[in-house]
Amino acid sequence: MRWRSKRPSRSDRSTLAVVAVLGLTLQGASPVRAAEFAIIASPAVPVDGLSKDELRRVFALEKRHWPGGEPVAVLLPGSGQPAREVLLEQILHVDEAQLRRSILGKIYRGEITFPPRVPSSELEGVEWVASARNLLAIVPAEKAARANVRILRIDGKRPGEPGYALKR
Amino acid sequence: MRINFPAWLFVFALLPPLGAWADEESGVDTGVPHFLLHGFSDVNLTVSDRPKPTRAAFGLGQFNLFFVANLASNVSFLAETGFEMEEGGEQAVDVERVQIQYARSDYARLTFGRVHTALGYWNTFYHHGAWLQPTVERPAALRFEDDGGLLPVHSVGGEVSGRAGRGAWSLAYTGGVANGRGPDSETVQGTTDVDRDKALTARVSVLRTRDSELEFGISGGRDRVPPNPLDTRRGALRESLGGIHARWESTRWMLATEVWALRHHDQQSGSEATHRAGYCMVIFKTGVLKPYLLADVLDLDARDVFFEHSRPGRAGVLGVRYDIGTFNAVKTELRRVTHDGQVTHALAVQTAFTF
Repeated sequence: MRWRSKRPSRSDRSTLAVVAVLGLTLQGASPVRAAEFAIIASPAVPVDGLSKDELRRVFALEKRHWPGGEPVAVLLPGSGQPAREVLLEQILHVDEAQLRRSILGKIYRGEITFPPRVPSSELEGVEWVASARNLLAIVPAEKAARANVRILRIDGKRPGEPGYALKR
Repeated sequence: MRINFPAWLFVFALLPPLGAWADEESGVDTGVPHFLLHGFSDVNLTVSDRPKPTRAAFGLGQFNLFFVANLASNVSFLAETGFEMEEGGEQAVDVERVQIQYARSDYARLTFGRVHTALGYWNTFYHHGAWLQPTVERPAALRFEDDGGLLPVHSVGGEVSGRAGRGAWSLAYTGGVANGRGPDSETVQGTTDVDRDKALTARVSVLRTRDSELEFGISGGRDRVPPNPLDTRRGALRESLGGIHARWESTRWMLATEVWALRHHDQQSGSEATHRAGYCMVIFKTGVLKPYLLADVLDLDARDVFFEHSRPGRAGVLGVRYDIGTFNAVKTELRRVTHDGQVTHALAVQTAFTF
């Protein structure tokens, strides 16, 4: 079979032009951003930031008092919420079953008395933190930005800053 | 203490409604403390070729009720009571723990009451409920006092404990003072101390936690065991013990080991006896299935009559734990136990649960 070159028709040239413009536009567009998650705190929480190691100790229920003696209290995101996966994978490095057993084990060892509360939604968690004295929670950064809560620095960075640690 | 089991069960059956009133947080002020009630139990089937002939037996493990309550923002209470079926069909009630804890800082928590002695890893991490521990039975060194154990795993006294961390590293420490051992190996002095000596224990652990957790620790203790007026073969014993523990745990593997040495110096005869024990355990975590291996040794010096009712020996265990759900696990083990030159083979199946 012999292939014959074919001169593009006017409609073909128009189509090619549209495709070329779209391609250039997409190249210049911003890449899809990973979702970021913020650590929010109630007004009486006496810290403005935590290192990632300190964050792990807080949510692993190992750190139970702030330096002044105030109890550390955290909310855990509900099962199935993206913040829960960030908590398990990036902060605690455990799976769901290990987290549940860890909490039960701490109760049985007398390290904690009650398990952490779990709000029914991200919005409810933000509301609880905003209205309480000393709660900490992890929520999508976009929800934290719209609410009247303090956002803590993690390893010196806030959500939106380059190198911020908690993203998915 | 021999108590009518059905009567006690009736009493505790009344308590869950009180527990159901408990709030998840202690911030609700109703004028009375709120508490949570939990429990453990297990049912076992063991097939063993000794004593001959091979036989199978069902067994009911300890039925354990567990209470926790906040009395104030920094004061908490914990109690644990076990109900056991014993050989011959008798039932026993054991008050395993009753403790009050004061904590205003992570660096210093004060605990008073009857506690699990802060020695090593297994004794304070796994407690009584079979559901908590990876294997069907405890390693021989860590058996309870009334089950021929080597270590003083329960104490009545006071403890100060704390934890300090920087970066990925943590230092955990506990020091305790207690009444100490009674005249025989089964007695934990809970209401009085027959001599002026107090038992002292201490444990220090260093932990590194990132993607996995690594822990090293040392423990030690000393006590004076009073003479037993019913047994004149020995005088008072000066007891000193020491051990090391190590653990490495990732999302896939866990390795834990402890090694112990305990020495008794008879203050009447001047003789000394040294006992040694240890275990090494490896667990492979494949989701709901967790195969494990355990090697376990208890070597007792036969000259020390204090432990004459204990069973020294060596055990090799191959098992698998299947977590049916968050609160129930079924464990199946093959065991090879060597004791007094005799080898026993056993298959054990346990369903352990918490509620």
